[in-house]
Amino acid sequence: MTASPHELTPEVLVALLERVAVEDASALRELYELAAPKLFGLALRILSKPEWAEEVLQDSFVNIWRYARDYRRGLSAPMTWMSAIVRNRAFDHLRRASSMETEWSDALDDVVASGDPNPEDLSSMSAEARRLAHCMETLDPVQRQAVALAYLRDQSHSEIAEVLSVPLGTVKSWIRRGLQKLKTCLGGF
Amino acid sequence: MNLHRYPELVDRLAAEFVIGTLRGGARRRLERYADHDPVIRRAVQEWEHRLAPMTELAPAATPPARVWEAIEEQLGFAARRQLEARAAEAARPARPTRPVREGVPERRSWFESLSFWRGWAIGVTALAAIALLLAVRGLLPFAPNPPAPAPTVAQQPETEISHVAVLSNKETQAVMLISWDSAHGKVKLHRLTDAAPPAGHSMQLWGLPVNGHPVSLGVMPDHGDGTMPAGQQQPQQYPVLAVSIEPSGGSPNPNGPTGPVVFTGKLLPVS
Repeated sequence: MTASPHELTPEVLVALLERVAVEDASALRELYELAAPKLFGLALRILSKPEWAEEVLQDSFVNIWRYARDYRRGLSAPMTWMSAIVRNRAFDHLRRASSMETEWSDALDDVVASGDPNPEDLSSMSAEARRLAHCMETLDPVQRQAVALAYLRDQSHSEIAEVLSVPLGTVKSWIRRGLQKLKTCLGGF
Repeated sequence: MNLHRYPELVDRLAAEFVIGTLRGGARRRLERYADHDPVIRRAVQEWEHRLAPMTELAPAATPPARVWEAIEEQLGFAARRQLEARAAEAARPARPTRPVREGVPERRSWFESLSFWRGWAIGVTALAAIALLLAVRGLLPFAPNPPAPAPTVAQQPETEISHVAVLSNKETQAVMLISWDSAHGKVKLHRLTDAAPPAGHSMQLWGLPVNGHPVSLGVMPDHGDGTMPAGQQQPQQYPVLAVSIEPSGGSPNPNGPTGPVVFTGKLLPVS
C-alpha cells in the first residue's frame, strides 16, 4: 500500500521529518499543512485560549525544525512525538500563565475527548489513538473528565477537585478507577 | 520498603506519575526508583505508551495563516528564499567552464545552510547579548575604572574596538568572540571554547553583507586567539558574521564558503 503524499499516515510523516532533519524548508511546510490542524486542536484543548494555542503551535514547529534529527521512528510514532512537543510547550505556557485567571468551567466540555470522533478524525488517528478513544468511552463521564484534566491540563488532584467542585478524595478515586479501567480495556501488559 | 512485593502499588504510582497527579517528594522518589529499577521503569514506560495517544484525541482545528507566517519569519525562510534567488542569479554568468553537476548543488546547499544560520542568528538570545557585553567590557582598553593614569596625547590606544560579535554554534552556545578595530583595520578573534577545525582543514571568517556574496575576512588560526587584517573592509557592511570549515588555507572560491557554516553571530556596534 502506498500512501498518497497528502495523507496523515505515519509513513508520510516519518519521510517528512527525515527531510526536515536535513533542513529542508519545503518539507517543514508540507509537514505543517498535514499535521498543524491536529496539533492546533491539541493546543486548543490544553490551553482553551486561541491566542495561546497559536503561540504554542508556532513554538512547537520551531522546535520540530530544530530537533527533527533527534526523532527515532522505533521509539514513537511521528504524531506522538510531535504531540509530546506540543503538550510540553503548552504546559510551559500554562505554568507561565498560572497566575492568570483561567476559565476552566467554560471549556470543560472541550477537555473531555468526546466518545464519537467524526469519521474524518478517526481516519487521521493512529491505531493506538483509536483504541484509547474507544477505551475512554468505557469510563464514567466524571472519570473521563478527571483523567483528561490531569493528563491534558497538567492539573493536580486539588485543582481538579476545585474545578469540578467535588471533594479531593472523590477526585482521587475517580482518577484511580479511571486509570484501572483504561488499563483493563487496553489489554494490560 | 520493597516495592516489588506490591506490584499493584507500583502500577498505580507509575500511572499517577505519568498522568501527572503524583507530585512533590513522592514524584521525585518514584523518578529516582525508576532510574535504578528496571521493573519500575517498565511500569512507567507502559503507562506512557497507554496515555500518549490521548494527545491525538482532540478534534482538528485549522490554525490562522499568521501562525505559519510567524514560523517562517522566526526560522528565516523568507531570507533564505531571497538568498537562493540571488545565488541563482549570481551563478548564471559566473564559472561557465565548471561542470554544473559539481558546482551548483554544493553552492545551493551552502546557501541553504547559511540562510538558515542567518535567520537563526538574528534570533540571538538575550543571554548571548549579556555574555557579549561582559566579554566586551573585559576586552576594551578603557575599563570603567581605569587603574592606569590617563593617557597622554602621545599614547594612542592600541585598539579601538568599534564592533563585536559573539559567534555561536547551532546549539546556541557561544564559541568565539570577534572584535573589530576599524580604526586600525584589524579583526580580532578570541576563542571562548577550544573550537578547532578538523585535521587538514581551516576555519574561515566571512562577513555577510545585506546584498551580494559573502566576503572573506580571513583564515583563522587553528587554536587560541589571533588577529586578522581587515584591509579596507568596514564592519558596518556586515550585519552578520559566519565561520565555515574549508580546505587547509581557506576556501578555493573567493565569493563564498565551500564547506559547512558552523558558527554565526550578529555584528553589533559597541556604542
